[in-house]
Amino acid sequence: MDTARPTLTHRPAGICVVTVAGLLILSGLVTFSPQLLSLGLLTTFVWGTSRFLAAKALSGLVVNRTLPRRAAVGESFPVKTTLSNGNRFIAVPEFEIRDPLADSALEEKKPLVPGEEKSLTYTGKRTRRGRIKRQHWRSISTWPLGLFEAEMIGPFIDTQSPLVIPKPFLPPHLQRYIENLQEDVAHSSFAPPDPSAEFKYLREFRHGDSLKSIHWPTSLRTDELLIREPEPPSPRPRRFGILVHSFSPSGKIETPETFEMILRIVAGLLFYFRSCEVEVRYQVLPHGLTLLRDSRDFSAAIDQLALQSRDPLSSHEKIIAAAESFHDCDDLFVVSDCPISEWKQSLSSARVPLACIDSVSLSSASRPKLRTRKRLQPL
Amino acid sequence: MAREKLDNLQEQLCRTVLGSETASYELLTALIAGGHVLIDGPPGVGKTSLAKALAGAVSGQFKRIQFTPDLLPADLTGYSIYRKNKEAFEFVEGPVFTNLLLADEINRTSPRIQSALLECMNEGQVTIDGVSHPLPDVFQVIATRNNRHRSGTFPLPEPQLDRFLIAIEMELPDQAVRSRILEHHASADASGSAQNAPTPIFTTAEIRSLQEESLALPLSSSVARYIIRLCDAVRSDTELNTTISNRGSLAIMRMARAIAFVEAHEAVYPDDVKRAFLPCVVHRVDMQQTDLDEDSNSRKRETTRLLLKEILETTNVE
Repeated sequence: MDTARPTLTHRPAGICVVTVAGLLILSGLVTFSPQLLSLGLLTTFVWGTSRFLAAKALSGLVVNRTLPRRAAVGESFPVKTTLSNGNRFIAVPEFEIRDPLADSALEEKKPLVPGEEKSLTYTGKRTRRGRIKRQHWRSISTWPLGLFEAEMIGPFIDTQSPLVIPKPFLPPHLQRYIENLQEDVAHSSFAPPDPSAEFKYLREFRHGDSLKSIHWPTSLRTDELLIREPEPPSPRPRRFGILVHSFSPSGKIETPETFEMILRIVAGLLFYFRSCEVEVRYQVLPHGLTLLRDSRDFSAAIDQLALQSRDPLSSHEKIIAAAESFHDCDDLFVVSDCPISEWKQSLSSARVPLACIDSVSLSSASRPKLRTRKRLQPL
Repeated sequence: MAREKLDNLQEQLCRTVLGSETASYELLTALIAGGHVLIDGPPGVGKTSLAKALAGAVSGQFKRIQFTPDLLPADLTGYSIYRKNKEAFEFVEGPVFTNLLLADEINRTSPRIQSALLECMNEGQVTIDGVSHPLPDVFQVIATRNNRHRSGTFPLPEPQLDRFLIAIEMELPDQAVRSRILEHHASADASGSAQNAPTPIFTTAEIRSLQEESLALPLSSSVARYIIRLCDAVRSDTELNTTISNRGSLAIMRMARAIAFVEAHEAVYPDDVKRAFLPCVVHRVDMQQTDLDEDSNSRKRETTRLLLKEILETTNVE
């Protein structure tokens, strides 16, 4: 399907013309009437010329498409399509073009003269994650006399192949939970004060202060004892972990929708932590553990979600082992497309505080609906 | 005569900021409609120059405020001061008491100060210490906003945005226009001549009479229904978040009337509504899109405009 190929179908007017031509020729032959015969041949000539031109009309059309690098499922994005006529002699007439990303057909009413370029800008939308693979445009023209419908299917020449990521979704109660955890950081896990750290300011000596903390150079200059007040210990940032797994206990089949929902929640968590600039230990089973430090790491992990396939585990051992590798985290989010009841118990011995998330336990109110668009006719 | 002057004004604006044909037309039309204008765009595309050119073409009072984070409401509206010799409070008018107010970089000040403009823009008056002070008959705020660089800025609140009749988006012009700009400046530099001050074309009284004439243009009920259908289509679009208020519908109507007047139509036609729709609506709607990468903001703006254009194309006139 890589090369454009026009297909011609008769329109009612075309059928009438060819029937009339046939009848005229037949009548001319039967009645030995040269007038009827020549009229029939003339009609056949018109029909033939129309067919020839209709077949050539769209043959020079080249369609380039500019797409963004990334998009999210269910969100519109701008698409710029450049139509050019590569034909050296024949103009591309009035036609209609269909882009599978667009909501409706795009009409071009002015003919494209040889060598001319025209740009159309519109919105596109995808309802499935993944990379947008090579797509084909379809154009329809009834030029020149409306006797034929010429249909041509050709490949879009895309500037890049965009990645459609799952639309991030962070349930409100989960966001509140994380915010509360982050607030708790101020009251816990302070790093021990460092005696060699820079002092913040000097203050007067008070009874009970250690002699070691006197700042002698300033004290001698000012003739009063001054104490070094060290920098207050800063709280150690909370370490979060995200463990994603698909678990299929025997006899239970999870639907693709639950897996997609889980990917959306994971994307929501990743976007949240990226915006907060918080480091995250992240693992999607059966793959290995990675540390997401900066926005580049987070973007790579989010891109990976777009291409993630479901790789279900059949036993608890791998989940338990994976949870153990998060032992240095303060909180671990375990996200699965399988109901919590099937696997939570097996993680009871984990040394990390767990927040278990599945798509089933989301209430109907917090379960978001994806907006879909009217489908185009399949190519 | 007035029509000739309108043409001259547009020509003068286009001459001052090369490549600003659409922006000049919309700015001029907003002046006829008597509405406030928000000019959006990256730095250095001629936002302030365009606003100053319009101010120079109208022989009224013109004041400019550079919005900074340390601005106070009294710096805009004015304040009451106690005069000992008179033994009474005296009101000192702020810069809003003018015909044309240029609010430069409006998003550099806090929402508190931005809100100080609400009453002026909506009701044409300033209330201080319980006393209302009316603003001049012809009063237009032209605000500029840098929508590319967000650091050190405060987003304009929706009620404030709703007070602007239209938003004009200015972009970097194409290559041919950019080279014309360079040539123009190079020749001005070589001759050592500073740019000539714009000559006033309209008086405020003339502007007022043009505004009244445009308001007198008839608008049929079918055109009014078309405006309502367009606004309903925006409201029902699942991707566009902010709904258009009645003020938004009225803004489309006022702008369409002004366009019909500038185009010398006998009444307001659906085509006038189509031209008015995008500049009147684009700043009133918002899209909640995922922040995918560093281009997210510009992509969001472009998508919003495209979605609005699609609404315009798919909504039937009757």
